[in-house]
Amino acid sequence: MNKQGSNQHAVGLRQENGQWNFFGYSPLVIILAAILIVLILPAVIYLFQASFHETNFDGSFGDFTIRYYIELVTGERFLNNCLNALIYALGSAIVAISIGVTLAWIVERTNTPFRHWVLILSIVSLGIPSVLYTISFLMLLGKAGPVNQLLMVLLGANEPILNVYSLWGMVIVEGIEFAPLSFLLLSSVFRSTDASFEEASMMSGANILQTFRNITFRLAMPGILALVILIFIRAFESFETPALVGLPGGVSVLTTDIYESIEEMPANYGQAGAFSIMLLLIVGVLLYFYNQLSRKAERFQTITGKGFRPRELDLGQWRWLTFSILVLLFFVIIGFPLGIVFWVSMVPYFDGISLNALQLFTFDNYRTIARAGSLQDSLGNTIALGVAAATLVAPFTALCAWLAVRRHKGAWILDQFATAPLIFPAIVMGMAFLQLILNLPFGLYGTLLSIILASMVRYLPYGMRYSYAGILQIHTELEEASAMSGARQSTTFIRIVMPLVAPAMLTCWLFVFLVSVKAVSIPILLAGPKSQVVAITLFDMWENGITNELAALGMSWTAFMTAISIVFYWLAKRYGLTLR
Amino acid sequence: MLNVQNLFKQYSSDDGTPGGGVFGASFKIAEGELFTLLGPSGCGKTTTLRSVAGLERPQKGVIELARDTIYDADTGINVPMHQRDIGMVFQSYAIWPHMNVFENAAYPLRVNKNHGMNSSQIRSKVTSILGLVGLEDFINRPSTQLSGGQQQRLALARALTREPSLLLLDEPLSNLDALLREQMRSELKRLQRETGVTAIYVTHDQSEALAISDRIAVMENGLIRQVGSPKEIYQRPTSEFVARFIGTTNLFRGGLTNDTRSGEMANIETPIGPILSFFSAKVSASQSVGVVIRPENVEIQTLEERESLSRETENCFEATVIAETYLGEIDEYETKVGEETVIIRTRPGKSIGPGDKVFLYFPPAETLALIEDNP
Repeated sequence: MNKQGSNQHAVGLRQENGQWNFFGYSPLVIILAAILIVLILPAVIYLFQASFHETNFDGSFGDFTIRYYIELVTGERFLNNCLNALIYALGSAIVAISIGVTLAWIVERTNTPFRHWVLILSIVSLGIPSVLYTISFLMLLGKAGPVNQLLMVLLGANEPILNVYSLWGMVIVEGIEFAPLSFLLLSSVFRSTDASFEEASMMSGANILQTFRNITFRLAMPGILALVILIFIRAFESFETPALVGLPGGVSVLTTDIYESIEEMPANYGQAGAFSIMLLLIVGVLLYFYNQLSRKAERFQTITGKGFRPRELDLGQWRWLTFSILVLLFFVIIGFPLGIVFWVSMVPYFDGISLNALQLFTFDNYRTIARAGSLQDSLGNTIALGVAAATLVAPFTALCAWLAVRRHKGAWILDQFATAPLIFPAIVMGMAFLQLILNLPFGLYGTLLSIILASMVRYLPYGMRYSYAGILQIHTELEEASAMSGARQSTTFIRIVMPLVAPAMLTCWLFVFLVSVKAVSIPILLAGPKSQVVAITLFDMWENGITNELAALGMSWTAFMTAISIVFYWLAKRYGLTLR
Repeated sequence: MLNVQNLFKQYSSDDGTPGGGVFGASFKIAEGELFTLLGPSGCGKTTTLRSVAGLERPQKGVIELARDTIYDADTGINVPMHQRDIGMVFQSYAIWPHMNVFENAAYPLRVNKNHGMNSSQIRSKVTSILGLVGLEDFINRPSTQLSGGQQQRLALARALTREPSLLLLDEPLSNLDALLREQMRSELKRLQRETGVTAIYVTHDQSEALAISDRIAVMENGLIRQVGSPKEIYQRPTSEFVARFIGTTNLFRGGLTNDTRSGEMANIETPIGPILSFFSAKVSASQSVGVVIRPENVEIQTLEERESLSRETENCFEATVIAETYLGEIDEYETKVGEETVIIRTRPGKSIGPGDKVFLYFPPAETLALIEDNP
């Protein structure tokens, strides 16, 4: 039976339990780790290189220099834009969390009618491209938008009151955009806190107010703080809102600095690199604090087994007040933004909301976009991008997660590597891949493949989260039973693990698909004329003032994506995978 | 002390279909008593407890605590839970992770000001209670660093700090491992005796209930089937359900030829023959009855023993041993009398094995006739 001795072909290489290994490491772990290193490391190295070298005219590296960093530290721009970013990110986090706490509390802890329909917010918001969402708020809050119209009538003013192209405009738009995510994550905070913590307080003689202050709020606090940091990070590294709202109003943040440095003629890659590295460091530090806090939050949310039961507060007549709040927030988050996009898509030119405009309603914009050949290329590219990124990420992370969860020797490093891109803001990932591609001997520049690769790396961590959660649900004994039935490890993976993890993988696939077609930051730096995607097309149409066709394209695309998002949520709910 | 009358609370699922709950429970508890609600899961025991606590609002019924009505469905009286003079130990313990041991136990005194204690009095009070449950060395420890047994003690201490007139315990031992469970069981009983607090204890574990209680109410499907001391419940169950739920029992179904009065002995015709049985209630001949006898009360005799000993003729049956299980302090035999299985428990030492022919004797005084439960 024991063939170990005779099978020793070379130093360290041996067969054990029918599996080949190298110094105890499974070759699979080594191969996967190698793939991850090849995917991530060169781009990171080139990003660092770019920030330390002069840029030649053709984009290649020139002499070594640290002048970009010196310029950064000595110039006013960096500090000023850091301050902008800080206010913007903090403001957005506060707006998002305030809305999120309200929604989550109403949905999870009260008996408000129709509260579960709030999930629609999360579903639709995952389907809307960020560019379109930001643009919809520019339409709403812009000079000719209904909000200014209304204010002018109410206040009797002759010119628009609000200027959305400002820091506060960025805060409002980004804050509302992140509200559904904040709601989703806070729901799980409220849901996973054992209600008997509160009941024990009531049974100690505390009234509702004392219980909320001493127990509910205190227990939720670490979770809420962790989310403040998370949304702070997401806003800090966001690109769409700063580019569309901030730049026209003269407000710059770090992400738009990177973009502008690259768009300069000639491109200032060194400066973009230095900005990227700074952004990377800041996000890294913030993520560290986030992890610390969320670990503490989890300790507070231990679901204590048998006695666990959720609790709903009977609000009596007050439930119609909370219902009205839900309706209002629903309109602010989804109703008004989609409403205005729809309106704009139906008129030949946008000149505010009025009854007269109703007579001009037409489907011409939809007909125009349906005929435009370039749009069809863009649609094809986008779907190819989403499908490719998702198809690469889902099985790859499933395999990595399985090896890591089952504690194969060295597999923890797969988990670490695959999660590492989390600290790369999308725009930095775009910048890193741009540098790598410019310096490669073969022509990847401007191809769809380059966008796919960068997107794949960027969304590996998200894929990892879903796969990990999916694998954790499979009890080890199911696999052990397969082994005891005489199956080899690879057979067990194919016959037992794959079918069981399939729902999680499908959910993971859909999520990566949705986020990779939604984003602007990576393709805006990497896309060439032949590799346009919908998000970029929308971005360009807005810049070029083709507003009505943009709205028609946006509506159609959102409808399509929302359908996919519904499938995603249905699957995730059915198989108990939560979004984090 | 506590008087619960016609408590009714029915749950319904989201689509409105009626579910479980408690359907008209009535009981009274005396001062200083440890009263147990015992039953399988879903029998309504926890609902009853939570209704007394005020965590659930019953649809019907009256609850009186120390002569005060704390709930009355008809008059609409419903004292909020935090104003009821009740302490509670939760199944999950519900020890707050953001407070240390002392603060957890002191919380009831912190949120109520009407006890009139100053902070040093609170400190000494809480310290003495923590000493009572054996946590005096852990006073300043973060509560997240406590073991399961320690959390259990802390939950108990917290429920007692306010010196409530009633203590509620919701399956407090179910999250502990077996050894610790037995230890905490006697500890709980000791603490209840020492403090003299009236307590309601909810459990599904019959041996726990027998060991700890002054009186037990056995519940099934939202109804109380029997209330009595552990001895009464074990020795004189009034229904098949209670007889089967409390401990292992042998049951033979059969019929009567004549009406029987309470306290009489009469023959019940069963598939294995007539069994002379004790009747604790009046039964008419038309009713289906069963006779139960505990495994430890069946006498088992080998052929030789039967030769040498006096031969009873009544309640004696020839049986075949099917299996023997050695349980340490006792031997358990599974035997067959005709088609019926009879379980016997006896002190070890008999040389009986599978396949042997034996004689079983059911002492009439140890038998009990019961009316058959509705199928």
